[in-house]
Amino acid sequence: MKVFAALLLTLLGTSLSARSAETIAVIVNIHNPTETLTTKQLIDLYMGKLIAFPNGERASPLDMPHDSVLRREFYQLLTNKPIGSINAYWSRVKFSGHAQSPQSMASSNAVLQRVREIDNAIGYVKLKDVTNDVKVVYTLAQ
Amino acid sequence: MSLSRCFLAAAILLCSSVTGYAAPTQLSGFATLGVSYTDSDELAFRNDVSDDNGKSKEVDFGSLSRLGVQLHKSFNEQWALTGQWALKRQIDYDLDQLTQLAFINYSPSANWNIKLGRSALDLFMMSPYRNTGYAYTETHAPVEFYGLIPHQSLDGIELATAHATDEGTFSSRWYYGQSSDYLSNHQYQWQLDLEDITGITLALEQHNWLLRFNHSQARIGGKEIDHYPLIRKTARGIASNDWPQLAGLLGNMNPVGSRLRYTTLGARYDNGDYYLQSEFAYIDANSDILTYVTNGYLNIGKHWQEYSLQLGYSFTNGKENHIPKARVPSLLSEALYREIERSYNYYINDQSTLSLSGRYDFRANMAAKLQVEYVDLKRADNQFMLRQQDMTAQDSFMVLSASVDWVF
Repeated sequence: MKVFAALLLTLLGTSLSARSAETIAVIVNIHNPTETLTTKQLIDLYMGKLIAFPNGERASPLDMPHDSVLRREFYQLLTNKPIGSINAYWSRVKFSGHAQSPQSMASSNAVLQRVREIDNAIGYVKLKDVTNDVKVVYTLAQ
Repeated sequence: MSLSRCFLAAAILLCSSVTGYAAPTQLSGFATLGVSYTDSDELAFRNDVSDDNGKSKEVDFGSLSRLGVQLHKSFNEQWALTGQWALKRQIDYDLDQLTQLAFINYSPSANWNIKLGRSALDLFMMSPYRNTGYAYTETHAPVEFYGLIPHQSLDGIELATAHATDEGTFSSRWYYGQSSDYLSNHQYQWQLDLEDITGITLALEQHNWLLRFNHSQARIGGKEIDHYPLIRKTARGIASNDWPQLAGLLGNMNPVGSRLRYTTLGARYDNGDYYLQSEFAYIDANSDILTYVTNGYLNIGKHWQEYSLQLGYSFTNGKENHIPKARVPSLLSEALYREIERSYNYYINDQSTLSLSGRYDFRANMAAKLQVEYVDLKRADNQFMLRQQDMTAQDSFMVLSASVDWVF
């Protein structure tokens, strides 16, 4: 019985760990007064509709490289749209001169570093990569 | 000195003075390698009426292909410069015609934005990004809706606001300025200056929805069409008793000074699987050169990850000006009648198009597209397609087009 329970816990732990690894966390600077974001606020922010935090302060969104898997997953989970639709949308916004797309960073470490340094930065990384010196304001899971 | 040249001078000055602390200049761009084929002996597909080089029953690489670059430099959170230059088949290739955007942006807060210089003309939903083929599923914007207005930029000022509400994100744009482009066919090229353009766009966006309203007005400026003096001179050969209304028709024929009014309602819905986009416009003028015209289109599509398929229908129709003919017909009066009738009904083109478009996003920033269209011209002497001869009849024909679109 003990062996069975241990096996069950191991399997459950593995499953939870895998789920945690796939969860994406939206992070802001530790001094940012924002505690949470709604889905609508995050979509506004990442789709260039209103690039601001709930208190009205301007935001500086950070993105992952154009062809990264994490970027594809982030936009799919956030908007339920394929990445091709997102890229087409951003080309409409950008080449109309209405807004600049989120700044593309080379890696999750670069996003974390930038969020630590800049008060109004906002980015996304895998939840397992989040460190204690940034604040999670939203999570997206499969 | 044009606004775009002012912008370039300001950009060079600002870049040289503040490069020490400003963000690096962002270079981006778009490109389309496109090809079209029109199955008509008399008419050729063209994206809009500024293109005077379309081809009938020949493969045409020039109608859809284009290349654009954009430079953006943010100096701080408030100030930025944006410039965009697009190369496509056009009548002039000078810096002024190549410059699509050239504006200084001042953003006092996240909700307010002011652009001064050359910005995108926000007339219809797709107007500001028509050159960027990657931005939409079809190979080109619906010609019945977009084809008669080649103007894509505004030299002037634009004020934009955005606010979050419980119903969605509400945004508005207010603009004033002028714009210039060409109307052309195989006979003439006319520089159509739109002056005193005033416009407002109101938009409400939710996650999957966009509702948009625009009203704009513009006065036609510039010179009259080159061959109008010749028409008046030719008209002297007709006795006033033979055509009593001729003098009045000639007097009111010149569009310069007329005020055009555009009112548009549009909507877009996209839930990731299915999408829909539609716009309807009502255009009229305060003179005899245009009674009214109604344009519209509806595109319905479906996404399958990298693939999209779209069915589209677009139309234009309007109220014709009925021009009285000469009481005593002659070859001269018939030729004159045709020119006068064309002038009074330039914008009235009873035409519809049914289209099927496919798109494949084969890279994160590249797409291949294929489109087949069935075009039905219910009125002769159509202005949308490029006529290969003086007069064309009613017709129905196919347009095939394909493109590879890229953004970088």
